[in-house]
Amino acid sequence: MIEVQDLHKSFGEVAALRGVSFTARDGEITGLLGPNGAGKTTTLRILTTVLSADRGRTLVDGVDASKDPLAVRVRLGALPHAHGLYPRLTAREHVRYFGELHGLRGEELRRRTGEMLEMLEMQEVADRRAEGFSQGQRLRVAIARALVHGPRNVVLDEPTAGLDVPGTRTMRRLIGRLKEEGRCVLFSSHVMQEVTALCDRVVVIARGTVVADGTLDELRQRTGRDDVEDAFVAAIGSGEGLQ
Amino acid sequence: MSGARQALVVFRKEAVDSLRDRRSVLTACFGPLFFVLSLGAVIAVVGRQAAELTRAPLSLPVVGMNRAPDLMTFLRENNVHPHEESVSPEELIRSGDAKVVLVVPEGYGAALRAGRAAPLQVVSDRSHTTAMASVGRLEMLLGQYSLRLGSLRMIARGVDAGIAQAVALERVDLSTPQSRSGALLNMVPLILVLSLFMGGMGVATDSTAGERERGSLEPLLINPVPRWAFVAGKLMATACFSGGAMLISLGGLALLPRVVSFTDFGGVFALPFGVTFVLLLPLMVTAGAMQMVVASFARSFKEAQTTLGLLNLVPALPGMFMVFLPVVPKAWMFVVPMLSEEVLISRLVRGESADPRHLALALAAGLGWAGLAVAATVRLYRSERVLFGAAG
Repeated sequence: MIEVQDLHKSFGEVAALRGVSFTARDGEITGLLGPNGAGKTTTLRILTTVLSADRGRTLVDGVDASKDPLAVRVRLGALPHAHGLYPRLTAREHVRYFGELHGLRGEELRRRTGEMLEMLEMQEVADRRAEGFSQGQRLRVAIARALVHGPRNVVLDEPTAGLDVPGTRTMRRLIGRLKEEGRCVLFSSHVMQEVTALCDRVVVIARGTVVADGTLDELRQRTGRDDVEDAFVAAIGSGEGLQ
Repeated sequence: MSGARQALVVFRKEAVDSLRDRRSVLTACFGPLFFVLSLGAVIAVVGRQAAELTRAPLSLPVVGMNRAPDLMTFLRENNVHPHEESVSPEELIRSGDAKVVLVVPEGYGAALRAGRAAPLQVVSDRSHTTAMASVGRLEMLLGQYSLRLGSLRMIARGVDAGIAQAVALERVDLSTPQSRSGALLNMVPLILVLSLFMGGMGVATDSTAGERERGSLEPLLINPVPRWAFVAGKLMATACFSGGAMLISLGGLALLPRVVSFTDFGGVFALPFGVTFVLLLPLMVTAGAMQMVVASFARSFKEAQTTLGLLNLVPALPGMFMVFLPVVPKAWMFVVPMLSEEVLISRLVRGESADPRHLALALAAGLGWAGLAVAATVRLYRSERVLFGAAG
C-alpha cells in the first residue's frame, strides 16, 4: 500500500507540488492522471525517494520514506520517467544487475531473471546488447529490471509513452497481471483512455494539487457527467495537456 | 545485503561495461603508450646528438688549409676532419651544408713566424642552436692550440709559461650521470600522472554524466543501495582504469632502457617501480573522485568530456614547470596533491634517495586528499543535484 500525505515541493521559485495526498491500495490499479507539468513525475520521484519533499510524507507498506528510504526502495519496483539502458549490456545483464543490487544471488537470481524476461516476451533478444533495441524492447527491459525482485508495490511513470499497439497491449496485460497477484499498482498517465481502460481508482492531479480522487463511478457522479473523459476535463477545469 | 557487496556489484558492472567501450579502453591503453614512446624517441634523438657531439668526428670545411699545416695536424689529432672548400664560407653556412667554417687568411703564416697574433676566422650562424655545439668544440680546440703555441714561444724566450696564467681554473663537476639527464627525466612523473588521469577519464564520464544523459541514473538510484556504495563501485572502476593506464606507463618505462640507450646522453634511469606505484595509489582515488564530481556537475556527456580534458592540464602544470625549472623540494610541496608525487618521482627516477619522511608525508597527505575527494563525491551523490547536474 502506498500512502501519500500532503506533499509540497518547490524548485527554486516554482511550486511543483502544493499539497498532494492520496492512497493506492493493494490489489488495485491506481491511475495518476493529469496534464503535462501537473506534478505527476515529481510526486512519483518523491515516492521513489530520489527527491525529498519540502513538507508532507510518503508511506510504503507503512514505512516512512524520509525515515528509512532503503526499506522503502526494497518494497518498491519503479519505472521512472527516464528509464535509459546501458547500450553495451545485454537485456539479461540489465535484469541481473538490478537483481544483484536487490541481493538476489545464485540460482534464485538466474531463475528470477529468466522469469522476468519470459513474462515480458524477451527471451529471443535476451542476450543481445541493448544498443539496437526498439523503443518497446527498451521499455520491456526497463520493466523487467524494475520488477526482478518481486516488489509488492509497483510505480510506473507513463509506462505506455511511445509504445506501438502490441507494446501497449503487452503493457496492459502486465499491469493486469500485477493486480491479480495482489500487488499495489500506481501508474501515471496523461492519456485518458488508458486510465479508463485499466484503473480501479483515479487520482486527478492539476497544478500541483489533487483535484479529484475516487473510482470512475464516483468521479462521474461527483462531476455530474456521464462520460468519463468529460468528467476528467470538468475536474481539471480544462482539457489542455490531456489526450 | 551489505553496502560493500552492492558496491562490488556496481564495480563489476561498470568494469564490464567500460571494457566493452572501445573509446575508454583505447584512451587508457594508447595514451600512456604514446607518452612513453615519445619520451623514448626524445631520449634516443638527444642521446644520439650528444654522442655525435663528443665522439663523432667533426667535418670542418677550411678555406686556405695549406696555409696552416701544423694547425690541421693538431685538429686531425683531435678528431676533426678538415677539408679544403672552394665555395665561399657564407654560401656553405647559408645553404646549411656546414655548421661552421674555418678561414685561414693569407697573412696567417707570416704573422705566426713574426711572433704576432695570427688571424683566424670562424664563420657560423649563431642563431642556429644546433650549430653552437660544433662552434664551441672548434673554438675550444683553437684556444688550446693558441695556448700551446703561446707557451712554446715563452719557453723559447726563457720565460716560465705559467706566468701568463693568472688564475688556475679547476672544474669540479658534481653532476651524476643521472642528474645530467635531469631535464628529460622530469618527463617521467608527468607521464605517470597524466596516464593516471587519462586512464580513468572514460569510465568517470560514462558512469556519471553518461549515466544521467542515457536516463539510466534514476532507475539505478531507486535500488535499495546506499549512495556511498554507488560512489564506491563507480570509483573503484575508475581507479582500476587509472591504475591500468599507469601500469602500462610504468611497464613501458621499465622497458625503455632496453630499447634506447641512456648512457649515450650520460644518464641512468633508476625508477623504483614498487615505491612509485604505492606513492601513486592514493592519487588514483583522488583523481577518480575529482573526475566523478566534475563530470557529475556537467550538463551533458559532451561537456563532461571537454571539462575533464581541461582537468588533465591541472596535474600537468607542476610537471611542466619541473621539466624546465629546477625544483628545490620543500616540505609544503609534499602535501600538495600531484605536486608531491611529481617532485618525489622526479628525484627517485634520477637515482637520488628520497627522504623517508617526505615519502611518508606525501603518502599521508595523498590518503587525506583521497578521503576528502571521496567524501565530496558521496555528498554530491546524496543530494538531489546529482539527478539534474548543473541545470538543477
